[in-house]
Amino acid sequence: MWIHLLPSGTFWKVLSRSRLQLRNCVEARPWLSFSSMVSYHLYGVICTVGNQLMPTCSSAMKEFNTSSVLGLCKEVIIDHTLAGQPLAENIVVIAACNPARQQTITVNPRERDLARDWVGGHYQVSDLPPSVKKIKWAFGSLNRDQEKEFILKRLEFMADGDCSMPSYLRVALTEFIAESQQAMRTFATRSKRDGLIREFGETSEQVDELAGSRAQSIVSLRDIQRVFSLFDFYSSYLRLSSIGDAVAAQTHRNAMLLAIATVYYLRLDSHNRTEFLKMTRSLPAEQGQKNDLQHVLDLAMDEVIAATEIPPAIAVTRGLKENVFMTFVCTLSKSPLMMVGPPGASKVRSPFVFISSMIFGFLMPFLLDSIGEYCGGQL
Amino acid sequence: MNIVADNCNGEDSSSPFYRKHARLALYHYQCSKKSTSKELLAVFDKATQRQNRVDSSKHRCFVLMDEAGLPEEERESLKVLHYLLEGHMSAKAEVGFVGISNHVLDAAKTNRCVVLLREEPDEADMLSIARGVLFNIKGEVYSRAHQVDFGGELVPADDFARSLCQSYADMLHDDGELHWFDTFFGLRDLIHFFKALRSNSTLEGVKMTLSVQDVVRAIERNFNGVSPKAIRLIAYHFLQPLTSSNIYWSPRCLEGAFRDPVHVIQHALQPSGQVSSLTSGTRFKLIIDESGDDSILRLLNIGGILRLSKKSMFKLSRMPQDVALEELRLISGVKFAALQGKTAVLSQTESINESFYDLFNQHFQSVTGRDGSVDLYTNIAVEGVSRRSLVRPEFECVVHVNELDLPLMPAPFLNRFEKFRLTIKDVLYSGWEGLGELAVIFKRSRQSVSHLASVLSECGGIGWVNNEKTIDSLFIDLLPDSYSSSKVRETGGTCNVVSLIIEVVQSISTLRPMANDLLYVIDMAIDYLNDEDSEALRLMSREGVDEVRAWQLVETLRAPGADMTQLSRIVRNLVQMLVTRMTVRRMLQLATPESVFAARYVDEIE
Repeated sequence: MWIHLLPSGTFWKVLSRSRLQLRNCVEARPWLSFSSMVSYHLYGVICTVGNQLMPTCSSAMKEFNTSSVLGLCKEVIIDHTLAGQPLAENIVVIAACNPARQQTITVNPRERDLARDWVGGHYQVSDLPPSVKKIKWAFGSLNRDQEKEFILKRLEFMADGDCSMPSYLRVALTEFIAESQQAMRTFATRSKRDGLIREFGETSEQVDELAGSRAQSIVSLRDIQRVFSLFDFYSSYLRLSSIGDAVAAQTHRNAMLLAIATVYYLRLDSHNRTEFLKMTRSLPAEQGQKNDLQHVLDLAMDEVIAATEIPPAIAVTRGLKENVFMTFVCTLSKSPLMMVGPPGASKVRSPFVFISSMIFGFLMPFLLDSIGEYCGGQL
Repeated sequence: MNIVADNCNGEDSSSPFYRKHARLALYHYQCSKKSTSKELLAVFDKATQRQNRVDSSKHRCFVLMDEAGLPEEERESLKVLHYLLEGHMSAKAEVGFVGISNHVLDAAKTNRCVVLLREEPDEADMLSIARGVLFNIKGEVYSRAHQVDFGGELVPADDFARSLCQSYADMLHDDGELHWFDTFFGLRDLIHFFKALRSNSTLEGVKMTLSVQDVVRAIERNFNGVSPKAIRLIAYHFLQPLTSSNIYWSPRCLEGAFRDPVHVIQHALQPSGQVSSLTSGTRFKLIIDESGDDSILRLLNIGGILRLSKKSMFKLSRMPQDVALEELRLISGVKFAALQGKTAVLSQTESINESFYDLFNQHFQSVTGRDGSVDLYTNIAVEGVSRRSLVRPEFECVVHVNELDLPLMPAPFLNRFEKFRLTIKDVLYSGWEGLGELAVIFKRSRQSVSHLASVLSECGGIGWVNNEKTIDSLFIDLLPDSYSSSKVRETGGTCNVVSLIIEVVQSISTLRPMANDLLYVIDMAIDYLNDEDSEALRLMSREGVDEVRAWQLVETLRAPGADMTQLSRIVRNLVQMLVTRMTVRRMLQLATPESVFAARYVDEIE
């Protein structure tokens, strides 16, 4: 829960991310003590600004429909009371929740562990109480054009002052990221639809709608943020020789290709990866530049693997290369990584292969400088 | 991780090379179905506190969350990750995170991570694995086998490996009789199958020699735990593409190639040289019990295949009281057994199996001591907190599960074991095999008893869960611990028929008949045998039998294809009638008085 005080249009942040874990709150007592803390701070602000101003206190409840005390949340939102006690007039409650989409359960739960469904798209949430449903507002997400605009602005902000990224390249890379987002949703819709048809045995409007809604959540602004974060990581800190010279336009393109591979491509199954590569190759590129994502990724992985000590009894398969490379990149760039795969797919071994290599110092020399700089910096 | 921590000490490292690199600190969390957000938070807090105290350019901390798909989503224990995976306003988190799961988590968590999908390996990857496991010969020169002599036929090594991989892939995607294959077996089974092939083979330079028998043995160990029909089908899928096209193959061709399940388990648990799974590089064992009442464990103990004691048997009760304490005790017991290098047999431990995932996976860290000895350490988790535990190479682990609980077992758990399936009938038939031709006596006796049981069961019986299983249990009870061969009769003379038959029965079973039982049987036999045999029996009863000759005949009864003289025929019939009589008497003790009364006019009862 966040507390923001807004006395007459001025935004004062008094409590930064005071957290109350709603999930664990099975009694009203934690809520009440939290409420007391809020009142205390409110009193402090009132004393500071004087009695003429009555600050409006807005409290935001995130993901409240994952809470085990949904009834209490409903009381706060609808009735404006807490455990029967009315809340102050100047408290405004804003609640956010995820849509209720249950996971489709297959007949055999073990099929789920085969990692054949890469889409997911479900939220483990409770259904909203009917009274809260009536005031629910679907915030939605950015549409395609808005997303593209967001990407371009973000890219311009990042590249501001950097002469090595001309404006035409910014537009091209914007297109790249936007198309990747869209491609992911298209693939997700198709995969989800096929899965639902297998489950229900037939196609219908309901199936199409369900597939579409789940596919919508497969990518978000966070993925775009991650692309930029990794783009910066690849171009400024990691400095793989396979990316190229830092000043060349192709270098920026290659760094973006790697970032896109990391965020989107490596998340797909084999069939959709082939489709994704076709999509990237079809995007326009300037003369002398290429959008060969597979080639750039292979070079980068080979460079990392060549410097990594792999125990002799382990086969260096493509799967292992990807695992080691991703662990390497995500650990250094502090990007959370989730490896999804069936049992026995070397998911656990790779992090340990990578760790032992790092500790025994078999990684390439450029890391000697890069790690120090990158880890000390903030993105 | 011990080796990692010992070697990479940043500026304090002994080697100048390591001093330039950051120290990597891994915080391992083993998820289970009962993971809580508090446990997760504790691990992250630890990592974060450490990261805040150190220079991030020289020290990097991250959390590795294993089996992230296990926590029950309804408990929402992973919801705390929403706050831990990113900082304020979607800034970078303070520590890194790597999560491992067998399936995609919900969108709220997936959205906060980079996701890497690791599918089943494709053809090229599987071939690479097969080549490495099957053919890489480690020695002074790292070379590879180029050819495989399979049943007298020379096959290029790559073709041999490719055929096996293709067979496996076909079975994974089979929609017919093997549609269940992909949810029961996985890549670990295939890799260990390759390892077993390699250890069963003989190597001469760059030529590897394998027979059909070697392949079958490898399948028995690594693609087992299914019905006999299914395992033959699997063997057929592997073998058929390897043989010449002019040889017609069918699963029936493999009828005689498979050993009985008890012998397979016996060989798996007591291999020659008394080496443990860890020493031999094989997986731990999982026994699927079809009996429904844990009888298989008892029978394996009685048969000397499994040594069960208070110190080796770990069984969780399903009573709700003191569950936490009992689980802790059990985990401690297993840790101690690992430390001592003993055998641990786990039964009904579904609720805590996740604590041992690293152990079951045989994922060890080796630490070399100052004296050159190598110690193995693995992570054993207690309520989500992983601790390194020493494991002696002699440690053996056997997990026992009921067949009814099998559908609830997750795939990652099953893949970690060599699986074996046992029924009461398997144990019985295995015991009979040791009796040679004398087993025919028991089989015929069983038929008679089964027929009577079917009559009685129509009228109801108590203690009969299933007719056939109860009868099998009765006959298992008759199996001797070991067959005691006849005493050598050096002196001549005659012996009484009654004492002869009683001695024979006592030597081949656990029955202890009384003389009255045999007299009754002899009277009945005189009425039911043919005239010639009846007359001979009357004579034997009056005048006795030559002792030496009688025992020689008894010994020949064990041998297959032995000539059936009149004496041996009579002795066999008498033994069969006596065994049937005494078994029926035991069976009637399980019947209700009402069912006996209702079936009183059935001849067999009289």
